[in-house]
Amino acid sequence: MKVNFVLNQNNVSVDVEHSNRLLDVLRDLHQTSVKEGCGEGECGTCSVLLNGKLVNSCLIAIATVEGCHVTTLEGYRNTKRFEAIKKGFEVSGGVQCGFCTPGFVLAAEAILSENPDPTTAEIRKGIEGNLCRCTGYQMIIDGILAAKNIGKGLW
Amino acid sequence: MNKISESIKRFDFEDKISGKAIYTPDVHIEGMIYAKTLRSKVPRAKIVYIQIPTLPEGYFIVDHHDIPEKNVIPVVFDDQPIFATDEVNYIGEPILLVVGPEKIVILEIMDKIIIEYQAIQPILSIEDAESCSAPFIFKNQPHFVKYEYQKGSFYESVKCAKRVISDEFRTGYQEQAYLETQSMFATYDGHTVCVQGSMQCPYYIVESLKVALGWDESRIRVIQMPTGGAFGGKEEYPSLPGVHAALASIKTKRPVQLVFERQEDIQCSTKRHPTIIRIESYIDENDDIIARDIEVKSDGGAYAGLSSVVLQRTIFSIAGCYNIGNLRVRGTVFATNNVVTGAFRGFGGPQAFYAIEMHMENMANQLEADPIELRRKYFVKQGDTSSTQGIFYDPIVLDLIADEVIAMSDFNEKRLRFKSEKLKGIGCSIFYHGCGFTGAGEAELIKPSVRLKKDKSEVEIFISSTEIGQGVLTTMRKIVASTLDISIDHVHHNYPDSRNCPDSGPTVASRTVLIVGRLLQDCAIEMKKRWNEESFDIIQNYVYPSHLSWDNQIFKGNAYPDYSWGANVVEVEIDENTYEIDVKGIWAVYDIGTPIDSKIVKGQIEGGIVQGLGYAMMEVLESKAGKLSQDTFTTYIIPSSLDIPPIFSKLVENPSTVGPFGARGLGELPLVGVAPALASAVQQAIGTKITKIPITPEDILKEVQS
Amino acid sequence: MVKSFQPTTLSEALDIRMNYDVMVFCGGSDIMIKYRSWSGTPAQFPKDVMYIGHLKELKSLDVNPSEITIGAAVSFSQFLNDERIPTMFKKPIEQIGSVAIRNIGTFAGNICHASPAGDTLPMLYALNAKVVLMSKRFRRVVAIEDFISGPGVTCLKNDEILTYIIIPNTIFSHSFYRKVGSRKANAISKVSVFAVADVVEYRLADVRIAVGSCGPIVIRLKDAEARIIGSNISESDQTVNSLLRMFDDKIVPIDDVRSTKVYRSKVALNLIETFLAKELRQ
Repeated sequence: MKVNFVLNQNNVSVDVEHSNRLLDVLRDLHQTSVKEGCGEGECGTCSVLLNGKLVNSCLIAIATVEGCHVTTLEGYRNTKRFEAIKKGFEVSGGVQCGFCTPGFVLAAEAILSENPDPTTAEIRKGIEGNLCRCTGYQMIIDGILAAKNIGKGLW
Repeated sequence: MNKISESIKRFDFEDKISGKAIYTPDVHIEGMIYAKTLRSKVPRAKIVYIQIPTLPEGYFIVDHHDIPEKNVIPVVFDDQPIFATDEVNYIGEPILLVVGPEKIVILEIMDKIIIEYQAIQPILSIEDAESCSAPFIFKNQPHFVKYEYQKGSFYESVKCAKRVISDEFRTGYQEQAYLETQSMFATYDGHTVCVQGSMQCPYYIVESLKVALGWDESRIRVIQMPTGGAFGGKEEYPSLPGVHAALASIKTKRPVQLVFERQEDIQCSTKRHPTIIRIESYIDENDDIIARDIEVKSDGGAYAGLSSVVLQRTIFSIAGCYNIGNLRVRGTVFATNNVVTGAFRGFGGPQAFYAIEMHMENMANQLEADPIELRRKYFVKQGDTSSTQGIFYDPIVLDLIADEVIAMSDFNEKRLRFKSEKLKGIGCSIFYHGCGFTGAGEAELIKPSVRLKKDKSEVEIFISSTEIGQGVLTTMRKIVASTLDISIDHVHHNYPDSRNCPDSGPTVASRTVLIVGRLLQDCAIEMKKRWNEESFDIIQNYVYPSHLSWDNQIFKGNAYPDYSWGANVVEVEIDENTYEIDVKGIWAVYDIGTPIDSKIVKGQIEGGIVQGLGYAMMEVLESKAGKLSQDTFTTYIIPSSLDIPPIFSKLVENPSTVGPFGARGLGELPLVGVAPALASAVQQAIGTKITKIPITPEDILKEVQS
Repeated sequence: MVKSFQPTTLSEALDIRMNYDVMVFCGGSDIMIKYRSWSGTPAQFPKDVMYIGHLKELKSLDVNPSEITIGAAVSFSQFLNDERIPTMFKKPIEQIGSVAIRNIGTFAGNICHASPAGDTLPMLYALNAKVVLMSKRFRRVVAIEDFISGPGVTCLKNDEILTYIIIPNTIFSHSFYRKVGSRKANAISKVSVFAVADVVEYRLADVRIAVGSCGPIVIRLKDAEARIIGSNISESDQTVNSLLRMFDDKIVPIDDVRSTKVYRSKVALNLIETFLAKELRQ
């Protein structure tokens, strides 16, 4: 089936099976920041923003994306908000193997766009669906805390 | 703070934070096709026949017939085939690959392949193996290896004992759960086969390809791609998919991608060894420990892999941080038809320290002694000998480490208070990690070398050490730049490529900074002397320190070239309704010598502690009839952001004489001590003995009710 | 390859449901896992699929003093973000999966999936929720406990769609929810207890207790509840004990990869006791 959606502010049209996962469609469109870690919504490495909301793209059937806005890190990394999050993670040391990182960046955006001044507890809750096996999370949480200050006014 | 400890921006940061880093599954080149592995569904059987359907054009089967030279993965013993031939020994053992351009078609072909098995009675546990009721898996014996060593005069000393305190512990499987599954990509140009992938040890794969293909090294190339976590799980295991992908590419003459599914990865790749450990302490009339008798049994799974080396670390470490004059230590790795066990951060150490530290805790309780003071009485010191009678040449600051962790955690006050407060507990552990390869392995097996290249003002590092998240691409540059006293921007370092990087050994055993970093420092010192020359290369080979010695037959001498040390305190409260463990805090003090980059060090510490916490209380993984029951991320539970306790860590200053700038090994140490400290805390909280990990709420209920 | 239908109105959806044997796809968070195939290939649905998550009629969330009516396509996040919904009804929902799961998951999907561990179910049972089932010709309203008859088994007919969930907007003086999972986020429940009560001058005017993951379906014992309604909350130890015994008889959990029978029943009883003997007296 033909599905039209907006990917990082560009119109795209794909001709695929209706039950293709958004994850696979995006990776075929060279959005390789969107990773597959588990394929069942547990790890968050395939996180993208769907109409501004954080979702696991492995659980989204492409048929349901018709007319939607999809944001991946390939698009988001061109924003000022990304620069703030990037700086935050740099300061905190929140990146190790990097495989979970794109998902955490988009989860951070989802947290801050809903609440520009989250507490540590709210940040922890906001990244509850993104697994990281390297850092033990605190340095990622610190990165988002740093980002909210660095990017004050952007959200 | 030493200048080198000051944190800088990681060199892999930009690519990773922006999502530009290309991992193996992200590689997509013209003409690329896919491989999928058909695996054994039974734990043990003869393969009677395999029926393959007619293949559409462009589709291939790759199996043992396609191996030009030798159907074996070279590790320690050459017992593991690349593909099964006429028998299978564990669920998930690879039998063949289906390779072709369309995944849907590959799945259809897989569905049509029929394998007829003739079942053989499987050996499914350590107990099964011990009772030898089924035919042996490995040679004519139930085990892969059986070791014993002694220190002092064990048999004499036990005669003087007035009492014996004994314990038996069980530890479970643990899955590395790197976020990126095993992934390989191979190309073949008619002459050279090139394997790129997610790995810790490029030269293990080079060696495996040499054995399988019988080719000269000039026709083999292995390149590490950015790797999404490893934790030991990408030490020896990737040789298997690495060779598979290469064979597929050679046969099809196309680029081949081989990426594991999560469930496949959990079912088939190597796990941490489950163990049963018995410790008996012989005590004299003054309540002094005069001797110890220790026995370790582990489940090696169907093939030997690295199990012998893992067991060596367990039995060398199991004397703990204590100088006990008389020891008898025995260990066995049993062969079973379970998944193959292998390397995992800590490499046999976590099991050893869980057992010995719980035993010390139990002794303190029985002798009514303070748990830390009892330990302190036996702390090893500079000049003492280790369990294997190697002299500790360097200062050991365990007293300081213990003092610091007591002060930070308020251990003494809480320990006393929780005696009368229900369901609250606090526990401690003191531990070390032997850094580098066991014994003289660095000199005799690995023979690492490194290469530095100067081209005008630019310097490039060539080593086979891999960046697996632990910061190699940053720390090695820092060591070289600091030694040469040049700006780090002039020092270059890429992911390793066997074409231009010498074999500096595998990225394991907390050896990279210690051994490879030191070699680079030595190399850079030489380079500095010749700095006025415009362009040149230096290759530096490892030399075994003359004051160390090791006899691998009787396990005597310096088991490791250096040690890092640590102490943990864990405080818990048990939920009275649900028996869940609420970890109130983890305190950690380490001697890792000079930290090479404080932020990278913090990342290793916190990540290691949380992985240790998972091992201690969450990550249940059981084999039922040879099949792992928790084989997805829905059922195999690793800690989430909501599960982490406050972690307070601190380093003591005690520079190493072995590592560069005084650094010791770090990667594994933080995982090692968490489980015993947590289990001790749970013991205090519920007042009964904990003899296993992971400790689940279900276990606690059982203890509370009994 | 199976066909897909994407109706533009509810009426069209009901036509399709009447004329074709289709699986109804709402949020997809369960279905996409259940029928997942190899990475890079489409989910392998066993039959034709009708997507209804986008239907405007089903995205409505109506709150009035007597009822809360939740459209089948309302996500958990939409429910949580609605300030008109009483906090006590949000407790089980904010612990479902993770943020990303709650952004797509729906009550309707959770109910039709009818898992013994379904996170919305204990609350819906306790609150006497009803589901609206619509076909081209009929509309029926069924109590939640009559809708689900076993694990994965409901009385939804082939031509029906679960369109709305109705929760009576009753205010209680006390509410309690505890989900026990293997970790604190993104976990499937091992045991869960949702309970509400209305205490008027130390008398228990109303009480409802529902237990999840402890049997093939949610356990709620209305006759047991009836026996303690009217009792004085500070003098009810005996009644609490007799109620616990009744639950003990009815709780029939299983051993599985997540937990044990013994653990599930003991914890369920502990939680019920905590609610009745501690929380109510505060």
